[in-house]
Amino acid sequence: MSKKEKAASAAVAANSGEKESKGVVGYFKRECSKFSKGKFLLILMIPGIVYFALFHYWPFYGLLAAFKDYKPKLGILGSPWADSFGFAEFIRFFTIPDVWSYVWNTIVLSILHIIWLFPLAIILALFINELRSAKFKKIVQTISYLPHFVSVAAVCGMLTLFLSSQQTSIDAGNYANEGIINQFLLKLGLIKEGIPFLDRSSWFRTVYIASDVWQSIGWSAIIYIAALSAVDQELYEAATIDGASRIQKMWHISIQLIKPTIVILLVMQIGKIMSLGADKALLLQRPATYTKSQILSTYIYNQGLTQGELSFSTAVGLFNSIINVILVIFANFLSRKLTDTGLF
Amino acid sequence: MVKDNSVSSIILDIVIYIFLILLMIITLYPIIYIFSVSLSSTEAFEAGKVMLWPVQPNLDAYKEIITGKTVPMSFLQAVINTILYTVISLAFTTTLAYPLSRAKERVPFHGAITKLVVFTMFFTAGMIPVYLIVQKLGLLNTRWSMILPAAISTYNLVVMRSFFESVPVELEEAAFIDGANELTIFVKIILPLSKAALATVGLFYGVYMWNQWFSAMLYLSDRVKNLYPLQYIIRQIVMENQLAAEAAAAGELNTVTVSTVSLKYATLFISIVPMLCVYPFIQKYFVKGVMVGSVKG
Repeated sequence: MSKKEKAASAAVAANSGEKESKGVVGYFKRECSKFSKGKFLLILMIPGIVYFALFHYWPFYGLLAAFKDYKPKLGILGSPWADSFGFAEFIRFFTIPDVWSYVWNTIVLSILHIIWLFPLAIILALFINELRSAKFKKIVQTISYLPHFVSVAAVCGMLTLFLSSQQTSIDAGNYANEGIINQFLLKLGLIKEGIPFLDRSSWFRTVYIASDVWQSIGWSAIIYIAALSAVDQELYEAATIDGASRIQKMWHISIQLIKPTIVILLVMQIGKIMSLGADKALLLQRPATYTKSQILSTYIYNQGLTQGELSFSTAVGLFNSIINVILVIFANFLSRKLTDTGLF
Repeated sequence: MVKDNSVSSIILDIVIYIFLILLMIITLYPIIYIFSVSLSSTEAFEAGKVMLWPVQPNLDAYKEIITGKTVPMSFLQAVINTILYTVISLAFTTTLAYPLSRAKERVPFHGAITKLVVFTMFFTAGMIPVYLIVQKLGLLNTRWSMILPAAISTYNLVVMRSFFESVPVELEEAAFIDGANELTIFVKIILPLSKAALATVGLFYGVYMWNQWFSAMLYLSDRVKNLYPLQYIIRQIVMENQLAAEAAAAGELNTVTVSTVSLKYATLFISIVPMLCVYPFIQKYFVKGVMVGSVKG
């Protein structure tokens, strides 16, 4: 909602608030008085409201399981409360030493994602903006969007095939048993022996982030390209007359104009640091790389649905959600400080 | 733009072109390579000859896949899921977004519903509680477990609402005066004016479902193998060598002509291709969709 709209609606609220009764009863009276006019719109909303009630609000009741010793047969209410005033699962969670490494792995992956993807997407947008040939511009853009439409499963399938290795020695001559990446590295003499990248925990983050960048650099650049194409060309012409070089123009005009967009997107990413999804990590995970590849969401999946520890993983999920909310509130505060526009 | 022929400008151009051409090569190479291996003969692949283009091209891998059971079935499932999901999601999203885009005075509980919807963007109950609900509703091991729990994406809802907000209220008022009822206005005026929005959001939903594999892993057990969508099958074929094992067990696989490697690459290519054929045509709508969704909250 823009500031203007907010101010306007606040004014409306203030006006109507004076006349009508206050409190919960007054609120319901006021809203119900719209029924005659808004019947059709309300009926229209029913499927959507039912959806949110079923799949977003009903699960909140399931959060009770985190404080219970949940037994599927007894149901959530019927299950006995957990020990330590219901917090037994949380206490257990905090005392498992490995858990902190999962939290850490989540944060590191998110931060590496930001560090690599942000600058590269901005550079891509700036470079595309500098292109004079409209045709080449179009081709670059179309190709750069392509990986966004390849599924995570297919990307991880490719990684599995391309990065595979039988650890063929460089002396073997025929490297066909190696994945294509190892073939190249062996042919160029960069490695002595094929590397099974996905089985090495030291390579996990590199593989994860590099494929992230491959998949989303073009898509992430869209918003900057759009912002740049809205810039008034006269600004650049005026700068040229003043003797500015193209690099100076990029720095002093282009970057300055997309700065608010950059800040907002960056802040939003900070709010998401702990909410990294399980799907990609699960696909790339091998037991040999657990020390780096186990993140909170994969841990929740493994504990809850593979091991059947439903109460425990609900508790871990709740902990994760609470951290996420705190991060989003912090991000919103940051955004207001830096750009004067909040997310909500 | 004024032309600039200084040395620094030429160097900048060189840097830009090298960067962009490298990016295009890195983007396209994996896709081309997959396609080439899937077409190349086993001998050529095993001799390490396939680098960029197909060597001794043949369609054996594709023939093998089409005559098999797993991949065609999962392809069909993915198509059914994607169509059902896109239709349902678009219907749910438009019918909720439209009233929320209209004036507060016209819609009962407008403010409360908006707040409750936006809240779900920031706080979710998590994987396990949703799983328990899906179980309770009896959706486990059905197609609907992949479709219904994700029926509305709040992000797409916000995009849709912003589009509707840009449709001028005067149009509706004029129709009212002409005696049209609200249903007519919504179906005959609002929806036709929002074709671009419907295309964008529909594409987002379609891509999401076509590329989805995690919900299948969460909600489908191996008792309902026939429901597995293509992306979930990829995981099994490529990463767990399932197709080869199954085919070998059934005596289906003619190992002399088709290697399991070509099958893997061909399956990957089949899973990627439909989306690659669709997106260039809807490209012009992306920008608006992405812009609206990421800045408005």
